[in-house]
Amino acid sequence: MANKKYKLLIAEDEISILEPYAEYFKMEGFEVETATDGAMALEKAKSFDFDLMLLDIMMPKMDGLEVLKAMKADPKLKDKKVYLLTALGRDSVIKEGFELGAGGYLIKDQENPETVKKNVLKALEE
Amino acid sequence: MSKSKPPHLNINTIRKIENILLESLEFDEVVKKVVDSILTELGYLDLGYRIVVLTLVDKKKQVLKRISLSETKEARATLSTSEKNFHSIEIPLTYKKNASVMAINSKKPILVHDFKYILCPGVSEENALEIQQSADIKTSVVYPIKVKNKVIGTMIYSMVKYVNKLAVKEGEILSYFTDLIGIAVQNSLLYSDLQTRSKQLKKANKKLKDIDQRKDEFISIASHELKTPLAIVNTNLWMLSHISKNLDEKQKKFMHEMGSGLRRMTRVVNNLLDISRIEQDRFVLSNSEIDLVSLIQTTVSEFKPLVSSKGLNLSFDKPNFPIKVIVDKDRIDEVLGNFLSNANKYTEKGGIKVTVKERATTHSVRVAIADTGPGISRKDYDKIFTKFGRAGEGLKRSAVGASTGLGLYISKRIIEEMGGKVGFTSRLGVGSVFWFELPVVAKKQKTDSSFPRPIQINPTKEKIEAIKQEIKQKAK
Repeated sequence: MANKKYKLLIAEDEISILEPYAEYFKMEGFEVETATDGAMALEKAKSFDFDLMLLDIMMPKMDGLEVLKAMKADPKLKDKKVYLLTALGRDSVIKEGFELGAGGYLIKDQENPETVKKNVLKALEE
Repeated sequence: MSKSKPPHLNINTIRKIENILLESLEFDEVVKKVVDSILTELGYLDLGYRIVVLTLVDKKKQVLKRISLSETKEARATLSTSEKNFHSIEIPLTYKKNASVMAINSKKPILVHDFKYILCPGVSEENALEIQQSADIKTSVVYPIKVKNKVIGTMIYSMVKYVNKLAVKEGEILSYFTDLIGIAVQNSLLYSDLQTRSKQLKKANKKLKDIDQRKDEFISIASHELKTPLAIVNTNLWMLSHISKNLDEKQKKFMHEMGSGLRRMTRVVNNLLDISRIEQDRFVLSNSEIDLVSLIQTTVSEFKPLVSSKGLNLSFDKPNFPIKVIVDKDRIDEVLGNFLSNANKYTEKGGIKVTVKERATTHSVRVAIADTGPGISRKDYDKIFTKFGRAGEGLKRSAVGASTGLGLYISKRIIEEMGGKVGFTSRLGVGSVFWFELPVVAKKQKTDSSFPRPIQINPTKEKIEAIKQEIKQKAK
C-alpha cells in the first residue's frame, strides 16, 4: 500500500489499455496523468512533475524511444524514472531502451495492472 | 625475315601452343585467339597460310556456323568479295559435298583446292570462285575439332601455296593445335555457362533475401497486431475481476474460464510467432573458431549479477587451458544463456555450477549446467526440450501468461543443427544437470550464411533483466 501519493504518468496510444490502467492506479492512491501519443507524452513529462512514467513504445507522432531520447537530452528530465510497457520484444529494442536510460521493460501481454503496480512500487522505493 | 623452317612439334612448340590457347576462359577472347595465333605465333604465315576460320556445330539447327576469322589482308579481301556476311554463312550438316561436313563425318582432315568445297552452299559457286581469287588461295585443309571423340566443329586453314599433301611436321602441329582448340572452346563454353548460372543464382538469392526481410516485417507487424488486442482483453478482464465484489459461483466460474481461455490464446499466439521463425529452417549457422572456455566465462560473468540478486551462487569450473572449437559463436551463446536462464528461474537456494569437459573418444566437448533446484519428476521427463513442455504445475510462475518454455526447445534445435546432443539428469529434491555436447568442429550447413538472424518475439523476464544488467555494467 502506498503511503505517499505517488505521481504517475502513463503514455499509451491504445485507449482500451490506458483507461483500465489509469483507473486502477487512481484506485490504488496514485495521482495519474495520461498521454495518448509521443508528442503529448513529452509535453506532459515537462509540465507534470511525475515520480515514474509508464511509456509505451509504438505510439503515433513520436515513438517511446524517441521520447526517451528527448528526455535524456533535457537536464530536468534525464534522471526521471521511466519504465517501458510495450508489446515489442526484440533484443535490439530492449537494449536501446535500457541504453536510453529506462529503468525497466515490461511486456504488455505478460503483465496485468497489479503486477505492473508491484514493479512500479519497487522502482519508486529503490 | 629469314626463310623459316617448318616448326617442329617439340616440347617448346607444345608449351607455346598450350600457353596461347588455354590462357583465357572468355569465349570471345578464345575464338579470336585460335584463328590468329597459328599464323602469328607459330609462324604459319611464313609457311604460306593466310586465312584461318573456326566453325562450330549448331546442334539445334543442324548446321555448321562460322564463328571467327583471322585478321589478315587476305581474309579481309574475302569479306569484301563475299555476297554474304561471314557470320551468316551456314552449312547444313547434310550437305556432304562440303569439306567441313566431310571432315566431320570422317573425323579426318580433308584437303581441297577449290573454294566451292569450302563455302558452298553458303554462297553460289561463282561467288566462291571470286572469293578464292580475291585472296589468291590455292589450297585449303579442313581439320575436325574433336573433344572426347565428338566433333564440335572444324578449323579451315587456307594457304597461298599449292600442295597435294601437307608436310608431315606441318600437319602434325595443325592436328595438335586443332585438338587443343577443342579443349579451349569447350572450357570457355562451360565457363560462360557457369557465369550464367552464377548470375541466376545471385538473382534468386537476392529475391529470397527480400522475401525473408518482408517476412520479418510481416511477423513484426503481425506480432504487434495480435498482441495488442490480447493485452486489451487481458487488462480489462483483470480489472473486471478486480472490481467485481460479491460474484456468485457461476459468475466466478465464467470469469475464470475467460481468463484461462485468454492465457491459452496468448500462449498459442506466442508459440506460433516464435515457431514460424524457427520451423522454416531460418536457422543459419556461421561457424568460426572460438575458445569455448572464454565464451563460457564471458556469459557466466554476464549472468552473475542476475543470479546473485536472487541470493544464489554462480560458478564456472574453468580449466587452465583453452578449448578451441569451430562453432557458431552467437548460437552457442544463446544456448548457454537459455540453460543458465532456466537454471536460475527454477532454483531458489544454493547455486548453479558450469563445467566443460573434452571427450577425446568422441571428439566432442560437453558443457554442463548443474543447479540445486527442486529437480524434475519422472512424469515430466518427456516434456523437457519439447515445444510446449513446461514441467511441474507446482513450480512458481513468474507472471500471468509468462514465457512459453521454448528456450530449451530452441537450444535443442540449435545444438542438433550443429551435429551435437542435449540432455539432462535430475534428482527430486537435489537438483538437475542440463548439458549439451558439441563436436569439436560443428557440422557445416548447406545454406548461405548471410541470411539475417531470426527475430525474437518473446524475451523472458530473465533475458530482459540480463540485458538491463549488462547495460548497467557498461555504464559503470
